[in-house]
Amino acid sequence: MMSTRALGLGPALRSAALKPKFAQVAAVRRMVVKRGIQTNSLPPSASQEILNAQRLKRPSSPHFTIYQPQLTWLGSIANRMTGAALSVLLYGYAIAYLVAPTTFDSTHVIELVASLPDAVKIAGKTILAAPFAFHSLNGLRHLSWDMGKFLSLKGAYQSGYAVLGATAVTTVALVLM
Amino acid sequence: MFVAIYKGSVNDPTTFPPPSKTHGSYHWAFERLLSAGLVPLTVAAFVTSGSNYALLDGILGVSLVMHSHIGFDSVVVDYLHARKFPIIGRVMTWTLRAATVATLVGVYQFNTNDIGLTELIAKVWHA
Amino acid sequence: MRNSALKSSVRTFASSSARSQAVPTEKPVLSKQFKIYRWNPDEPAKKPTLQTYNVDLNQCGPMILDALIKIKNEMDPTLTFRRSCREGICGSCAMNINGQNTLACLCRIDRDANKDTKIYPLPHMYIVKDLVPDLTLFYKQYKSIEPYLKNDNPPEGREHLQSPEDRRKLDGMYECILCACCSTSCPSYWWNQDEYLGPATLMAAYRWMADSRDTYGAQRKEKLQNELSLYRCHTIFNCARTCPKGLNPAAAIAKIKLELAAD
Repeated sequence: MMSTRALGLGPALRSAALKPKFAQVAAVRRMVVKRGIQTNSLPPSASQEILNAQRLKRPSSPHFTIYQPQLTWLGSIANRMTGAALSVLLYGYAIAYLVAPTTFDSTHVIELVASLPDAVKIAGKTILAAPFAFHSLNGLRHLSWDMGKFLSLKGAYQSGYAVLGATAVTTVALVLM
Repeated sequence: MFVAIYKGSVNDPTTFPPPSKTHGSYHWAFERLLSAGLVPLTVAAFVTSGSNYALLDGILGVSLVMHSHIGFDSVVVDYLHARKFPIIGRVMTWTLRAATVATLVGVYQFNTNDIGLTELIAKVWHA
Repeated sequence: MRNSALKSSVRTFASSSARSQAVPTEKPVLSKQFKIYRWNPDEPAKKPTLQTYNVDLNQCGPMILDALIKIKNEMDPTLTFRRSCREGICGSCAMNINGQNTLACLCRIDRDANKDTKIYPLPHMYIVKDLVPDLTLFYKQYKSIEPYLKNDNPPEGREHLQSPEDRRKLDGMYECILCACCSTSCPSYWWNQDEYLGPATLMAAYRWMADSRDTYGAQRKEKLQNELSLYRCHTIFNCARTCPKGLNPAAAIAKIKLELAAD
């Protein structure tokens, strides 16, 4: 037996085997007591606790750090981020106007923008127009999905590229206005 | 990360909360109708900018703020739900509601006492 | 006499005896690097790591699963992963290969030896060991949508008939092998796994809603009327992109949303 070998019970086992029959049982019993195997007696319900203890140590596998960038989820998170950015601008301005109407009224804002150099104005327009164009066009894509259109993988990819192209065109058009 | 210990045994199905159409299909349908409505509103505001249509401005302003609110609420439910973040989740939800109310008031004030959102964007764009 | 004459004539066209015997062609060594996620529950404090293995692709089958089995057989027997049918029907070997969730037995190894292949377990799942995720919650969620036919009045003594048009509605949904590739590719499932059901379970739910023989459609829909179970889906579409069987859970979920709104 492997376990007796591991516990060093070999010699004890052999000497016990060589003893006369009436002394053998006593010899084996003594041997086990001298170098015994530790066992715990547990009820079946303890298995759940052991499993739960193991479960708490398990790591969670990596997700967005390792997942391949794809038009599917990049487009979706871009939709959320552009929407959030534009809304922050809206909320920010409205609350600023509410708190300090004289500082943030339209005349001041228009004066501030007019005083900026042209390059800054163009950059500013692009930074505002691009998210607005993307969010609006992707929003239309979302609404068409909700109506049951373009729901195949091919449809999603084709509409996705169409939105990206249209965003570029729309942004240029808006900036040039 | 949520707790790895499951409710019930491995053979028990997961449970559902009590059904509520307000939080379910009505919310979804309202969100889509609002988004769809924003399309003609924005186009209308775009073509009529240059002259002042106070009612259109008002409806557009309110619709934009509601659309933004639903969007932000979605973000809070996705990333900061109260069941996993009991304190910050609830704080963010109520902060958002307060911010939305403040924004609505601000937009109303701006549309009433000042030139209105459409006009502002038009003027800033061509400043 | 004639035998030796034949033998010598054969020999005249050959330079040596070796040339008349078949010799296998030597394949060059095409060594590719596999970087595989490892974590050992016997040493839980040690953080998960990426271990590199070099595999000679010319001595290995064409699929990622072949490479994994070769590594386990010849290089590292402690590498642990699930596998069974090796033909893309059981769903056991679902894992994240080069950033995409797919079945290892259906994913061909890229023969470009200059690029390494990264193999991770399914994303945002508790890991039992190496590439083995804990799918308990996934199965509990599947059970919760009652994935069986529910009909209080089945026809007595004869078959429960269904027209070919009604049967066609189930195509593209019944083939799901529950490999969990789609659900674990969904960012909404990553963030809200405990309440959001995920594309696999939702497509299964719709498979039973769309079945003309099932009469419990209303109750099935009622269960999804809450903020999280269905409506955390934002049509991100990662599920349809990653399904190794070419199915489209995103379309099924969109149909569920329309049916719930129509109620």
